[in-house]
Amino acid sequence: MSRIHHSRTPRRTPAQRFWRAIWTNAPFALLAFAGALFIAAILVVSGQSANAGNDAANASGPDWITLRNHSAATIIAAARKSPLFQVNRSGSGDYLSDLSRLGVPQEVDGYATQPGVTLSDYYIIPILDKAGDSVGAAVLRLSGNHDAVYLQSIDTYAQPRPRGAIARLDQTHALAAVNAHAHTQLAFGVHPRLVYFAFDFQGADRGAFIWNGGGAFPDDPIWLVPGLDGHDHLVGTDSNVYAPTQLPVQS
Amino acid sequence: MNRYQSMALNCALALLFVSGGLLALAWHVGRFAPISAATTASTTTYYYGANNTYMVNAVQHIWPQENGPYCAIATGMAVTNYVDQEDHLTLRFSTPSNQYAIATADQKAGASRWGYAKPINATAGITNIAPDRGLDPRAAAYIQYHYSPQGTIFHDYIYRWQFHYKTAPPFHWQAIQATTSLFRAWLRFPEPMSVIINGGEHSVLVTGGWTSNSIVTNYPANIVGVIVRDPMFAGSISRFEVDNNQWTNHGTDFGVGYYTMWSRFYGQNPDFSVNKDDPEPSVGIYRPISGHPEHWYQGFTWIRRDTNSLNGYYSPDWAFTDGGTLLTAP
Repeated sequence: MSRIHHSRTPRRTPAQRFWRAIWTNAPFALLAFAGALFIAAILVVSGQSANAGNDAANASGPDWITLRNHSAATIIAAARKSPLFQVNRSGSGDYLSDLSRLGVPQEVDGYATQPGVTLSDYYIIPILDKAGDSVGAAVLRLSGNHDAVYLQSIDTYAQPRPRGAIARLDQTHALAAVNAHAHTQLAFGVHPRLVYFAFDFQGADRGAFIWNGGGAFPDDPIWLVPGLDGHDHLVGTDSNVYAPTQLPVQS
Repeated sequence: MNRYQSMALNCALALLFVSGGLLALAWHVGRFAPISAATTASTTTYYYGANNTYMVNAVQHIWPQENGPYCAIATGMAVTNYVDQEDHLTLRFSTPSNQYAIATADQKAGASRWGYAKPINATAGITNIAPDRGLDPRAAAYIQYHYSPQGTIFHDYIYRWQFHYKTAPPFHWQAIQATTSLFRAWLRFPEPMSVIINGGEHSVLVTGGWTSNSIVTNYPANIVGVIVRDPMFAGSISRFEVDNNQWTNHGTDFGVGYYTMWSRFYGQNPDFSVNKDDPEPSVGIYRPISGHPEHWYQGFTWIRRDTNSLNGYYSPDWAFTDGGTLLTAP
């Protein structure tokens, strides 16, 4: 009985009470700290994901600019929003220094000759000199449903192309070439179209053929003339008329 | 410790563990965050590279490339002509047929100190250290070194992620880092550089480019555009100013994925199989061996002018990392 009195805990000093409070509450304080750290980590990761989502568009694909309509002014305005139109072009560097005069955008379609191959369509905007000749071209790739464009390059022509043209051969000469060499005419109800095709770059690298007919790039297009004979005729920049099977196409 | 304290401690430890994992993930993602090419009208851009007038003079009488794998010869000739102008010399090359003359000379001279790869071909002759279809990068460096004014030194430079990291960053990050290294050459020599593109199949001149931040303090820098002159198409389109996406990110579908510039590594076909036209060295110290399985493969390579002549390293036989370190092994 008396042992109870003897075992009574002695009265603690203030220091002992302080450390006991610390020890008792430490797990809860640690929990609070961990909770705050967890929230901070969530915020960091979610913020980074949002940024990555924006940047990933650049890393994984081009900067598409939506087209409200297909007027020349809208297409040109879209091009001017693109990074390559906004770089520093002062000085004497190796670039087109004057992009102030732009001609009428022209659509150039991909002409696929093989099943399973799809080629993008393009708008090509001539870049003009003071005389109105095309010294280069802004090459805008069209999205699959033609509701957006992406400026993939600004090219310089080896020789200026007269009066804002992008094709080295004009339509009149193309039709005349089909008439003269393929002995047919443009089919009723259709128009000649500017096209490019899946050029065989690898074969050209290897020297497997000689090709001076153009059409390798959208801004160096050739004419597609659907003939009255039911066949497609392609008029190269060399004025020769080719059947689709005669084009040097990448296999 | 009572029951509540024990539960609090366990929960705290669990939260700390999860938070640590999240922060580690954030650090890793941030390290290789994609590089944005976008600029706005208010963004300042910086041009690095060659002079337009010199470039036009350098190529106008000697391009396009002749039919066949003459691209590296054609680009090398243009570099020589460019340097000649800087040195106020008469241009060494004046006609496209000079490409044939160089190919003929390659059959008799220009072998590396380690010999040459067999079989030889009609353009590189004995200047290749790899059985390449055309000129390999060592042969391209030799052409520029041999024909440029005396004292002008060129070497093959190689970017591989192993020179910078222990683990591989995403492809696009590597390509932009390599491009930044390429651009940094212009800080010392603002001249065109012969750059191997399309998985090793083709050589072009990269003559300039833009960034939206400094290439000195940013690695990789924010590449906005790359300026390319291709000897193959010089008769129709003399210059391509391509954007970041086009240069490194399969921006084009020309040639059914073939003309992709730096959107694939040296030695890769468009379908990412091994490109047998442009193999690794078969002679010399850069021939891949166990422990060093790659030299040009899985990387990017270009020829640039430098001043690396110490200890006899002026020779174009030697290759360097993109950071300028001599490569003594593949």
